[in-house]
Parts: sequence; C-alpha cells; structure tokens
Amino acid sequence: MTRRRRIIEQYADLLDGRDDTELARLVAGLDALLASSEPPAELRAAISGLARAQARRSGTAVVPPELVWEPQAGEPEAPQSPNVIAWPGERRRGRRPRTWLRSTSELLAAGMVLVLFTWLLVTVLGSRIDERTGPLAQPDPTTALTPAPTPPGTPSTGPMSIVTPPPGIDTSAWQTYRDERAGFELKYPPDAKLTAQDGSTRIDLPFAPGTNLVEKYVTVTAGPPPSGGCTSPQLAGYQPGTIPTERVLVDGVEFNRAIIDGAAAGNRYEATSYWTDATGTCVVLDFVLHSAVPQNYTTPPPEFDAAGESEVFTAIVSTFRRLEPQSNTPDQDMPQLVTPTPTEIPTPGTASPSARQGKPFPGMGKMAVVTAGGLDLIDFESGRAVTVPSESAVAFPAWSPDGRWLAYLDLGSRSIGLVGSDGTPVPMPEVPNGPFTENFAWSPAEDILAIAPSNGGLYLVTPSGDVRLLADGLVTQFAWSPDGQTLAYATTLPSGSTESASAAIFTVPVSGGEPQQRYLAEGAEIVLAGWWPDGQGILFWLGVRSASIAMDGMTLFSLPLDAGDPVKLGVMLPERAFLDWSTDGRLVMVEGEGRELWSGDKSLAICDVRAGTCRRLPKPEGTVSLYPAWSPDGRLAFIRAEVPSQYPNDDEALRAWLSTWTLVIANPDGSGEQVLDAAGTGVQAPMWSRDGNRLVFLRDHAVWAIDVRNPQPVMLVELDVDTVLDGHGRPMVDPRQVLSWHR
Amino acid sequence: MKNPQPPVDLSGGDDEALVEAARRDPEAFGVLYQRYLPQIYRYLRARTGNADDAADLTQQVFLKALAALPGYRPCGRPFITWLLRIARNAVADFYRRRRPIVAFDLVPEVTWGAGEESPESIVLRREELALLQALYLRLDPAKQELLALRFAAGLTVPEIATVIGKREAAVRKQLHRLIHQLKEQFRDA
Repeated sequence: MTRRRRIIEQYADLLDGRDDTELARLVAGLDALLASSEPPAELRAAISGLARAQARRSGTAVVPPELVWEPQAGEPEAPQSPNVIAWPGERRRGRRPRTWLRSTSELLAAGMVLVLFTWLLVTVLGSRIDERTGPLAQPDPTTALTPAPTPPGTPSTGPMSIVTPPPGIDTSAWQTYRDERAGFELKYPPDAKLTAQDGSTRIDLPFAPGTNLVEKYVTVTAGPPPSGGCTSPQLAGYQPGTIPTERVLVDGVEFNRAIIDGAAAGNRYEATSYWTDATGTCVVLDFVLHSAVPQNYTTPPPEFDAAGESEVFTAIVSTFRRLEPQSNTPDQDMPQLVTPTPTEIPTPGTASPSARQGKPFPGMGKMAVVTAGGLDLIDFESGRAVTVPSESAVAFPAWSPDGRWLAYLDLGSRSIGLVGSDGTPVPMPEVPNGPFTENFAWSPAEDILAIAPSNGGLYLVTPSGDVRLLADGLVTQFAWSPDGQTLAYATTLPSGSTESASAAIFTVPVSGGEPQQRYLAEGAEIVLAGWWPDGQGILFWLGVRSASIAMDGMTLFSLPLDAGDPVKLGVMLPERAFLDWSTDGRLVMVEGEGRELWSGDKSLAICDVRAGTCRRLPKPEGTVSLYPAWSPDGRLAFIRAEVPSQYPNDDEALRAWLSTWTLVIANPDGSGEQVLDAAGTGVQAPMWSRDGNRLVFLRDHAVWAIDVRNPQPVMLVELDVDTVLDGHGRPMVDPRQVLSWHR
Repeated sequence: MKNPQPPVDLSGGDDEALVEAARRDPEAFGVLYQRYLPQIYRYLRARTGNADDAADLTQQVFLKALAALPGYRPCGRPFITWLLRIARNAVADFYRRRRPIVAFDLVPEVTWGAGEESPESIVLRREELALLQALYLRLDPAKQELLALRFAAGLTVPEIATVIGKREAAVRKQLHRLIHQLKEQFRDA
C-alpha cells in the first residue's frame, strides 16, 4: 500500500472524505512525527526478560484463578493499583483484607510464614525486647499474610522481627541525619553523600568497585501521609498483594518492609523499602541497589555481592530513633545560613514558614529559589523565609524591580504565576495567546511585567490587573531598555517556508504606538541579546536558520539606534550569560566558536560597542574563560576551565572537567589576576553583590557566597537540582531557571 | 525459551484469552506485550519527546501492567485502553519528578524516499516536520495528549474517550477542531 493510501484509510475519520490536500498533508505530517518511531530492539528484549523474571519471582509466578479478584455484587470492578489505575468516574477502592484467601495452598503458606516468623522471634530477638517495644502480640496467620501496607492508624497485631545492626558494622562514629518536624533521626556512614531532592533526601553510599553495581543509596522521605495512606513510592503501580510486605520493629517503631525489584532499559533496581506512619508523619526509607544488567557489557563485570552491599542498609535502619517532641533550639555552630535539610514538603494552598529559616545576612537582599515543592522566598536581611507551595513544577522566578512581587513560570499549566514578597498568591490577569514560556520579564524601572505568549503578541501586565497589548506577531525574544521606556523585540516574519523566513528587530515605546523596525535579516535568524546600558543601541546575534549550525556559534552585532549599520563584534555562543556590562558601558563577551564549552579557544573580549572594536584578554595556555561578570567597581569575575586532553564523552569525564572550573577575579586589562581557591572547584554562574564585596555562585547543587576581601565561602541555599553538565559541557540548569536574586 | 502459549494471531482480537493466559503465567504476557509495545512506545515518545525516556517509561508501564494484571477486568474495554491509562499516569509522574528542559525531538531522521515525491505529494520535508513539531509543542498538554492518543497510540475516537474519560462526541469534536486549527497554523507558518 502506498503511504498516501494508508494515510487516507487510517485517518479517514479526520479527513472527512474530502479532497483537502492541506489537511492530508497535516495528517501525514502528524503521522510521520508521532507514529513513525519503532521501539528499539533492546527494549523488546528487556521487556521479554521482565516477564520471565516475574515468572521466576516467588509469590507472583502463578496466580491461581481462585485468587483473581472477583468484584462483589454492586461493587465497581477493576481494582487496579489504588493510586495508578482507576477508570474515570469510578470510585477508587481502598485496600481491604483479602478474606477470600482461603485455599489450601494459602493456608499452607500461612503456616510456613508462621513457622518462619517464630524462628525469627526465637533466634533474632532472644530476650532483647525491652519495655519500649512492649509485649509482642500473638502471631495471627491471617494478618501475617495481609499483603497490603497497613492503612494509617490501623492497629497491627501480627508477628514482627526486630531490626538489629548486623555484626561487624560499628555505627558509633556515624553522622546523624535528623528531621525534627517529622520527629526522627538516623545515622549514616561518614563517607556517604547527602543530597536534597524532590521532597526527599538522598544518601549515596560507597560500595565495592569493579562490579556491575552502579549506585547504592537511601532516600529518606518524610511528610504528611498521602491520601492513599503511607506507603513507599517504590510500590506505586503494584497491585496490593503482589509485593509481599512484612512488619518489623525498629526502636519500638513499627515499620512495613517490602522488597521490590524493578528494571528499566538495561538497569536493575533492587529496592528494600521501610515505611511507617507510627510517628504521626509518613516516614519512608528506600534502599536502592542500582545495577547494570550483564547484557549491557561486551565483557560483563562480576555480579555485585547483594547480601554484603545490603548490610549497611540494615545498619542504617537499626539506628532509626524517634525524637521526643519539643526542643527546637537552633544549632549555634551551624556554618550555613540556611538549614539545608530536610526539604520542606508543603501542603498546597498558602505560603508557610520555610525550612530555610536562618540567621540574617545583611547586604545580601533576598532570593527566590525553586524547590521540589514550589518556591522558597528567602529574605537575607531578616533571616526569614517562606515557602510558596505549588503542585506542579515551577521555574524562572523573577523579582519585580522593587522586590514587592515575584513572577514565575508554572510548568504544569504553562502559565505565569504571581506572588507577593510574603508569598501570598496574587491573581494573575488573563493574558491571551498562551501557553507561556520563560519569555517574560519585569521592567527595570517599575512593576510592569512584559510577556510574550507562545502564540504571539507582546503584552504588558501589572499586578493590579491591567493587561495591554503592545505589539503583534510572534515575538521570539524581547528586552527592556535600561530606563524601562522602550521594549526591543525580535520576531520571525511570515514566509512560505522556514528556511527563507526572515527575522526583524523592532522597538516599541512602553507608552504605546507603532513599533519601529530597526533591522531586517532576510533568511536569517536573530537572537536578541539586549540593550546598550545607555539605551542608545541594541545587541543581537545573527546566524543562519539552522539550529545545528547556530549551536556552534552566532555572530554578535551591535546596532546603534540613532543611525548607521550594525557592526560585528565577534563570533560566540548565543548565551546571555556569556555577556555582561560594566557600569561605564563596556561589554565583556565570551568569544569563540564551537558548541562544546571547552572548544574554540573561548576567551574574554572587552568591546567598545559603538566603535565595534574588541580586545581579547590574555589567558593561560590550555584554558578557556567563561561566564564573565562585571563588578560595580570595574573588576571582572569569570570561570576558568582547563581544556580537556580527551573529549569528555561520559558522565565521569564531564564531572572531571567540571572539577577544573575555578573562580577568577581580574582587572579589565587582564592584570591583577586572583584565583579564588577558597570558592572551590566546579564553580558556576558568578554574580556580584550590589556593593561589589561578595560573589554569589553555584556549586555542588547549592548557592554560595564568598567575600572577596576575606575569601571564606558560605552556603546560602541548597538547591533541589543538580548542577551537572550536558554532553557539550554546559550546565544543565540555567541559574535563571532556579533562582532570582534581588540585590 | 519455550513459549507455553499456542501461536497467537497478533493482528486480531483475542485480547481476553491472552489476558487470561497472562494472568496465570506471566510468560504469556510476552505475547500481549509484543502486540502493544509499538503503540505504547510511540505514545510515550510523543509525550516525552525523546527515545530514551520513552524506552524507560515503556518498561515501567509493562512492569506495572504485569503486576496489576491479576486485578484486570476487561468489561468490554479494549486492553490497550487499560495499558494507556497506566502510560498516562507514568507520564504524569515523569513530569512531576522531572526537571524542565528536555530536548524534544520527534522529527524522524529519515523521512521517505524521493520516489514518492510528486506535485500533490503528502510527504513532508524535515524542515516542515520541524515546523509541525514546533506547532505541536505549543499546544497545551491536553491537546498534545489527544494527538498522541490518535496518532502515536493509533486509538479510535471511542477508545480515546474511554482512556481520557470523556464522551465520544466531545472527543470527536475536540479532535476535529484541533486538526483544523493546526491546518491553518501550518499553512500560515
């Protein structure tokens, strides 16, 4: 069958049987875009393997027909996993004891479990049960078999084993992880690494190298029990009962424990989950051994020792202690301004005090930081912080010039949200032509937000609710003039095809009026870079209309608005973080081609934008200079990185490259260079404080400040995102995405 | 490995028998999965925009489906709609956990042979597909989902209605309006 014939048959309902060529082309295009990919062969193999592995796994291998859930009369059917699969309009059914488990084999199994538990009780516990744990209830075969996690609040009466530290592991010198709100603490080995992530804390643990083990970690999650009851997220998607769950006792606290085997694209995740709501909050400890399946290797490394590597898990669980309620004295010796862990799990609705309360840090203004659960607004002057909860992910926070408002992008609804500086939500006026992207910015002069929706137009919006259309057309970027009186924007002009499309730069007064075309690039791509500091000209990048070529660099042009042609300044990557202005109007740029940050001999160049002249700053051989920032008193801060001897083509090599990034300060002629060793390595995105005494930068998923007169870094805020690099060595996270600093 | 199932016609109905077999013997699940893998994979590819995430999520979906199979009751609904409900939830979880900025690339490397090109050809060039992808990305998630279900997962309108829990007439109308809106935008771009 020809493709045309197939399209016509397959999409007959959409084509209406009419001879509409445009419609047919659209439908064919959508088909090519969405329906032409084939699943990779290894995916087929992997899923076949899953089915086989499942077949071998005890308890789920063969489900006898009498165990298949039959709906009772009058009940809705389809009892799939409670939080994953429910048909629309159907009531979600809660878990309930499976009293119909009455086959001979079940009873036999129950007997065996009972024997096993009894053995455990005798051999493991001995007489070590103290008053805290209380007398153990009589073993009960029916509850011992209840597979689903205990719903919150349900008294449990089954037999339990007690988790004790494995012999040979001494936890006395371990670090303590304490969550005072959730009321517990536990210990972890000193060589482990803590990371706050989406609403939980991850503790990466060391393991024996040279095997197929890739990662070994614990995630600690604590918060109010979710509506479906307290359970491990690892169990999401499993039908209750398919994963056997047992109950164990740690420090007198009853935990559920389950072992869950998962797999994804050549990876295996063996998780042992512990969860409890006995402390009033839902506390989940997920221990994960992430290994690569042997098929991933030409010569597979030896299989890791699962039992040996898991011992430390048991040791960590055995250190779990419930805290006495009360006692909230802050630790006076804390070097950080902000308590990095645990991460707040906010309840949606209103702003609440954040976990990031801390000591004041005068002169540092305030900062909005994206977290796993929304935004934290931190006022360094007072040390106060509030959490703005959000159900969906948010990005690109932006303070208004006077710091009264904060706008942000809601990635769930792709809308722009607005809050007051105290975190109170402010209704955002209706702006047409959504959805929205990060294409919005406050005026530098007053509390007016300019927004370029993705379906066209340039709008001005005030927090009081005014919306005004300033310009039509598809605005690709825009920039406020330094005095806030004019907007410059780049737009793609309508054309027959994408290749021949032209781009233009317009300016339009904020007070309104006809936009004025300032530059037309036929068949080329324009990326607006910004205004001259005196508002007399504009900077833009010009390149061919090909994303892959533009990735290797575009030419930076300077366009005086009074008269004349644009002048060429140099070729560079079109990134705003590769440009900065001095207070006296000189431009610093990162000159050099090549999509990889280490390529093209990337150097700082100081430019006179009116004359169109640039001067490269000298730098040591075998290095590149990146991310310049001009201090208020005319010094340059930037990142110096070494050019790698081999192309870094895996994560390890990229990390090694990132570890060569250092923070450097120099005079604008390159003299008086000072490497701020105290800032550490892997430094990203330097920003100066208003007084020019401090530098703020990102490093190891946190925001740091350093006083350049007395270098001693202080962690300001821990970030929920990783400051890692992509394959071209660029940071995956643009600082604008995750924080806004009101200086 | 011996397949305990008799040969099954992969093109026809027979879902219920396959589900029944897979329930008792997870290995029989292989047949079910072979049948639906392309649809689920393409749907996830359309929703995540890249092959790696789609492959990861596809595995998760089948793993969950396998685990949840004992509780599955068809009640006249096609099995694929049940799988797609799992897939939709997997996508929702994915976007909840995941940080933004994902390279979205659906444009196939190779389109079709030059021999098929003709004046009234319906074969689009890569640039046109890139433009269409840009239009698709600009749609709100609910509309993208509708297109992903119709094109990538290859569902009929009644099946889409079952998956997203809306009335058939409403889905048909919405899809129709969406296609014509895209047609205008595609022509004008």
